[in-house]
Amino acid sequence: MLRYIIKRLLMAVATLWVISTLTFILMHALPNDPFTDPKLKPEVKQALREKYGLDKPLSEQYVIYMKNLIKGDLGTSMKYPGRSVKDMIKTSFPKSFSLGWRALVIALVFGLLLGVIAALNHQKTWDYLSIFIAIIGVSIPSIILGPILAYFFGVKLGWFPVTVDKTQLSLVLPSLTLGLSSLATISRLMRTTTLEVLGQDYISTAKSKGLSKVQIVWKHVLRNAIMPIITILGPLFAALITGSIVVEKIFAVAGLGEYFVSTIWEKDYPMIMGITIFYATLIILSMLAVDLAYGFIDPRLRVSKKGGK
Amino acid sequence: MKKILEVKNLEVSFDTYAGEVQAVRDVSFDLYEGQTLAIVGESGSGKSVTAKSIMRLNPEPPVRYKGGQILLNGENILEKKEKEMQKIRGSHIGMIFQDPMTSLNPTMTVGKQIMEGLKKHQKVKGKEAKEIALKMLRMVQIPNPEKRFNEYPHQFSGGMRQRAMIAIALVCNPQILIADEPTTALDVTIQAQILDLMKDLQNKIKTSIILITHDLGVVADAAQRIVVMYGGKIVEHGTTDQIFYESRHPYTWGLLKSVPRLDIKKENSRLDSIEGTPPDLFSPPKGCPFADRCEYAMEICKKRMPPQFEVGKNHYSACWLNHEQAPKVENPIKRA
Amino acid sequence: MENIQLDKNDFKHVGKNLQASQEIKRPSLSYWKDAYRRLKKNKVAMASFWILIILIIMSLVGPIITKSLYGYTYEKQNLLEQNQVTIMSNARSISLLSNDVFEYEKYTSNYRKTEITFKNVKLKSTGEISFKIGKESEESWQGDKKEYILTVDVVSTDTWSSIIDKLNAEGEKILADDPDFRGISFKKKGSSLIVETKGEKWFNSKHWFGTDEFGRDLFTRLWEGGRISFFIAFISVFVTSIFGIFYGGISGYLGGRIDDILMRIIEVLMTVPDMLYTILLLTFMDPGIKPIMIVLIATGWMGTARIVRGEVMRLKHSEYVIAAQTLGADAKRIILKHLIPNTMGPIIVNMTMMIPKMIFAEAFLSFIGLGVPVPYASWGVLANQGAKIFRQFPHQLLIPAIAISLTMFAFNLLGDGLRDALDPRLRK
Repeated sequence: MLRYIIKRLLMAVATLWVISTLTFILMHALPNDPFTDPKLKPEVKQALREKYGLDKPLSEQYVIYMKNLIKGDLGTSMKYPGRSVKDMIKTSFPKSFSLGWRALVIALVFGLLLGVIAALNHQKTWDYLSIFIAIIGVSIPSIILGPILAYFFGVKLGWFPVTVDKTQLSLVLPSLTLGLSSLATISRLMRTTTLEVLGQDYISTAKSKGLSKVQIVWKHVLRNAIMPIITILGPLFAALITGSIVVEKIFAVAGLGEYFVSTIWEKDYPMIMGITIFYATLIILSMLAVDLAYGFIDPRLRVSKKGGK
Repeated sequence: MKKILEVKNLEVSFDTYAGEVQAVRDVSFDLYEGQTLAIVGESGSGKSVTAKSIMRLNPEPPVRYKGGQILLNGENILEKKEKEMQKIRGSHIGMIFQDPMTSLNPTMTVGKQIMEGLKKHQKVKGKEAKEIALKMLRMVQIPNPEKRFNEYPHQFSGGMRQRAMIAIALVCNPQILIADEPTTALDVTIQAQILDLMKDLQNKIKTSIILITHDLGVVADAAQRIVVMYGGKIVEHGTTDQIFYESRHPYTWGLLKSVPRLDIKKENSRLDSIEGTPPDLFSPPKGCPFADRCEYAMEICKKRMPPQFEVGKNHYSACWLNHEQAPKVENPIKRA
Repeated sequence: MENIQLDKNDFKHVGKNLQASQEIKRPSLSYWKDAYRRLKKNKVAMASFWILIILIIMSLVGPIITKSLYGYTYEKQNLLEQNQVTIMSNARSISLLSNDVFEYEKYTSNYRKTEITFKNVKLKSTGEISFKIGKESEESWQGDKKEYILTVDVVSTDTWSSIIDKLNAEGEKILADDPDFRGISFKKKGSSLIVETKGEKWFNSKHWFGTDEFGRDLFTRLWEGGRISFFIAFISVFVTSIFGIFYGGISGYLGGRIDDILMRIIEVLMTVPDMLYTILLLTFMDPGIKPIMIVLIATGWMGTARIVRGEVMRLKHSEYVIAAQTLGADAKRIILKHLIPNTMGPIIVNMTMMIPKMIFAEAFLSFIGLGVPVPYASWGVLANQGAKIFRQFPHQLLIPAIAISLTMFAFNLLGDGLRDALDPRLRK
């Protein structure tokens, strides 16, 4: 088990290193120097280069950059001097987070429920409903779903605010928009794994003991069917993060995602990189957490990782 | 001897997208207290469906019970509601399955899996349940039961798992144990151990056993009566001795010839197999299902289903060769 | 049975008939034929297939039709025909100019303001109600710039019904003076007051799907957008699949250390969602169709490579390939006769599933401003523009939205159908 944890940790660190190095190379290898604007005077350009350390040799820049990263310094904005990536994340990420966890809860609760109900009613109304929702979820991207939800439930029916303010109610539409595709993915996978488990021999064994349907589902089906879901929680989290980039823009959330989009438009390179690395770290850490959790939860892994027996 | 289970003219079919598959046709047999009945046949003969029908474990739909009765202590199982069936399963009838690798829940400790049926049917809890479960583990000769109790199935070997399965099936002292190919997935040496264990337990707790297998060799000294199934029908039915030494059906002869035996003298020492494949039950033949593969087949065999001829005391054979007008054919298998 | 008459002939020996016993009652089919048969039976998948064919054909011929009929192109602006819709109406716009008389809830009017609903109205005092109909600053649908003011005075003896009568009578008066006015009606329904200008409705024969804010024909732009979106998706998927097949094939076939390294690389790359890479790469490139494709290819091949490697690994260890090897088949034959035909199924399914992902990625990127530059009209661009003015002109979002969703829907369903048809493990 310890070996497994160490291996996973090393892997995560290596991935982070690869990503930050790639980001660095991208920033410096491409012809588009952030200061190629022909309107800038050469002296100003030179001054800016010095300020951002771009006049030093590449290797030295890389060392400085990596050192800063380890210290947790993600860089400062080029467009708004004095504004650091870290500050930006501190002020705007909590808003994204409050949206993200709601979306995750919506996706998990309804996705799992729908998947199980569908599998238990295989080829009946509920099953077709869940298939339908799953297909809607993957076929209607958030850039379309968001405005449509905002129009019908916000403007036409007036049930929810269309932009996010301080109220809980205003988070309903964006969380739903963000969570729907994940909900679809989860319900689809849960349906498949539940159907698979229902076909297993040990379910026949459970039936032959005289257990009721509820007991079988509760004690034998759910635990085994949920296992594979844990493995997709990592990628799901990643999907929520990228998804929140557009959802925040649609509902004017003022979170990190919306800020990210505006830095893209402003071509604020250090900001873009800083936020990318932050997102990547977040995703890698969450995947690490999921991997470790899986190792603890599945008895087969738990023991085999001890080294035999 | 007391008759515990009576299967009468059972008809079972599957409704599939392509039509109806008649998996079991007009099957009848009885099971007596303390007796072992073996149902023998190749895959697709309907033996597993028959066994699962007794527990009503076949998924309904697609499975449909078209006719007949299964009487357990005089009550028809086919008329029971699901709730009533749940009271019968595990407490009156226990079952063990072919593949011990997949028939235990991988995420639940073996101990818990044994106690489950106990808690459901006998309302015992906590320490008491654990005591009984440990007793069961000891009874199926699993060493170190206290430690094994808290282990997961993947920590058990194949033979051990099948022992655990037997413990699960017998924990409520059922009247009947259905063993669906209990040794097929095991190594030969383990097979013998499991069969011995089952015989041993039967003597101890007086359970009747229905042993389902494709291997006549397995049943030779395990069963008192044998039912031979082919193409969803019973082709021959008699005591173990009758089937082994006085068989009146060419299919049984074929089965016997394909079993390596020391006690039977054969013309040549080659092991014979039955050539051809079993019939497609989508459209079962009008006549005898075995006719196409039978070297003794006659005109009548293709046209008309043979009835059950009584060829000895409680010994039945569904073969036209037993008709008075048929040519006399000698059983090619002779006692050594 | 005893009373059935049997004669001697019935007991004539005929012996075995092995041929009959082995005769399979169900027809035996080759893999591809069977897959095709199964796919054809799957109505949902077939419907999806035909929807896609129609969408693709329309993308090819749609812009040509409108170009030859009206001379439209995707970038041709006509500021005189802004924001038109499919069903045109010559009802004039309407707005409340002044109101002393009643209280009402904040109202939401429809996008062209030819109808206003005041909810929960309550009389509060006497005075003037006045509406403005038509606008001098804007040309109306029938080509004039007329403006009318409708005013009534409410006195203390008036009730709701007399006020409604007065308003309608005033409307009649204006209509009598000028038939171009077309009429107006006031209605009280429960506690709501509904004001509606009248007019004829007709199909917009010049702009079938209406126009956008620059008066560009949306029919032309939609199918032009289809060309771009399909082009990006098809080419990207094709190239990623080729690359993925090579990468995964080599990794799986060689195995061992090389496989370890190649797969570790993918594992690292796949940890971070491709959308992040895509955004990062695109910020350093000038916007355009080619950079998008390059970036989508650069970030999309890992999944395919993994699938191919998995299949190759599985097949490499399968009995029949080992059997072929022991029979002396060389590597080329094994790859051509066994590995490729057997991996084609999953690859085709994967390609089908990748296309909607690419279409989505393009739309996503265009939405956040990194995609196809204006005035090009990919579906993502159209959705982005439509989303901006969705509340006034919903059709400008709904039209590309339906196109995108229908395409993704159809590809996903077709992919599901193909998977069911091509997966031999499901064959019964």
